[in-house]
Amino acid sequence: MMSNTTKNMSPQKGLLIYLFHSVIGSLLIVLLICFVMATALLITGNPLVYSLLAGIGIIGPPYVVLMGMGGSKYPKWERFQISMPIKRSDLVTYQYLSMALASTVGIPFVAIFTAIGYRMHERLFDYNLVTALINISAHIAVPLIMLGLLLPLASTKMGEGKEEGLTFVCFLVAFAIPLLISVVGVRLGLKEGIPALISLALSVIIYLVSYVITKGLYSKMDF
Amino acid sequence: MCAILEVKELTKSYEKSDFRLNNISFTIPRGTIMGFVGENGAGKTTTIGCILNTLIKDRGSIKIFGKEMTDTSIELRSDIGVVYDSNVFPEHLTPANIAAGMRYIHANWDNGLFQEYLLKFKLPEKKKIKTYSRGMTMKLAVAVALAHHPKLLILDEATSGLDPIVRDDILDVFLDFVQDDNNSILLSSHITSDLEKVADYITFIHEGSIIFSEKKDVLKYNYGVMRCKQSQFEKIDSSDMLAYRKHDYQIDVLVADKEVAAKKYPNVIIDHTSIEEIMLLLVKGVK
Repeated sequence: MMSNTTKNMSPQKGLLIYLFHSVIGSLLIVLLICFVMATALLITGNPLVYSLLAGIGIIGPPYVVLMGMGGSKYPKWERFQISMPIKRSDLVTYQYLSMALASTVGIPFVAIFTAIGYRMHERLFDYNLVTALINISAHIAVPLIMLGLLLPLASTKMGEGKEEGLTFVCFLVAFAIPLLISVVGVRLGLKEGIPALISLALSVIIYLVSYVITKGLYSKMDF
Repeated sequence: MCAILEVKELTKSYEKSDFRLNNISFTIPRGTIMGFVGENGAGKTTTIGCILNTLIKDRGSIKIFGKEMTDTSIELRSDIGVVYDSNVFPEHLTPANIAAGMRYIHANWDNGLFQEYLLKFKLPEKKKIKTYSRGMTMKLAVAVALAHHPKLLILDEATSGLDPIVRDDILDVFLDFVQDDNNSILLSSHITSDLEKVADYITFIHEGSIIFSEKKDVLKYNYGVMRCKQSQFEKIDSSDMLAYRKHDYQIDVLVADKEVAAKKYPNVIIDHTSIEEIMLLLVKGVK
């Protein structure tokens, strides 16, 4: 039999290819919804539409990627990945990097349409564009906190088979934390944008700590 | 002959189960097929899970090509092809998608060889796996497992639930694979006819312990079953019996050397035996 052997070793790239094929359909739907929202924003200049655009555009992609990664949906695929020539720690790194990438991918899209909307409709926000962009970026706190809580919990015995329920609870917690920080920020009279920055910093810390914990859990897990 | 896989005193237990893999040991020589047989829940998949690092072993050693298998043994795992009992790939992928990813995962991925297997197995490259039949998904799994030139193929019930034609196709591929003396196969199955057809060695596992690990020809040509009446059974030395099983009008006695037994007990009928009968006597009979 003829031989056409390749030598490009980059397992995480290989896994990203599978992930891309898994999520591309759902991501296109999210993109389509975002375009509709963005168009509505540009036409109406309604702050509520802006909030929806920021929410769906930034929280949508990581949610879609999380679902596409498999876990409880494809347990055999997860087991097969472990048996391939990939270290367990590299699999965790791939998961966290993919999620971080998915969490940031919507920011430029939402930011561009926000900036255009801001130019077209002067009273889109009560605050300036820089604060608006900080607030947009802070939306990333929701997926980062959600994933930061969910991924290690799903790797424990307690989380086995309860991924859907855990996802819901982690989402609520992740949504509540920035909201709480925002409310407290207003009460304390903090400058606009500061609570968003605090949420952002906290979410990054949670995500990094979660990464270290999940790596430790994954190294001892049975699949 | 140098061993390609050496499992030594492997132990694995689970928190939520009484099942335990008890100090199991066996070796697979190069260029051979090891049939790994046992009833459901005997410990075959647990053993394979420990070999493949999907399960964390409690104790023991697993050496592949003479090197200890650990999580960081990436090169060792590159030389292993795995086929599970059902489809492992996400169903929306096509064989072309799978190949696109595998070339970055396996250093020795051979796309030409993969294409040849797709042609050989008549698998459409652009169709999603969800449109495949069970036989087709298993053939695809075999193609993926072989397309990176593994030296050890691990098959966990890979032929279970397949019709005889597909099973035969796949078994022929396995036989081709071990034509290279450097290649070996660990074939876990409870379909003993498959093992009789292709295996060189048989390792029998029962309730987490290895009952025997023996050349198939030894089992086939040396082992035998004495068909005894009660009066004949009572005269048999217990040290000659590996196991016995009482039926309504007959007692079957498993012996390790039927020629010796024939000389010692000339009045008793001694039959050739099959792997299935040996399994049944050892599991259901009295030892």
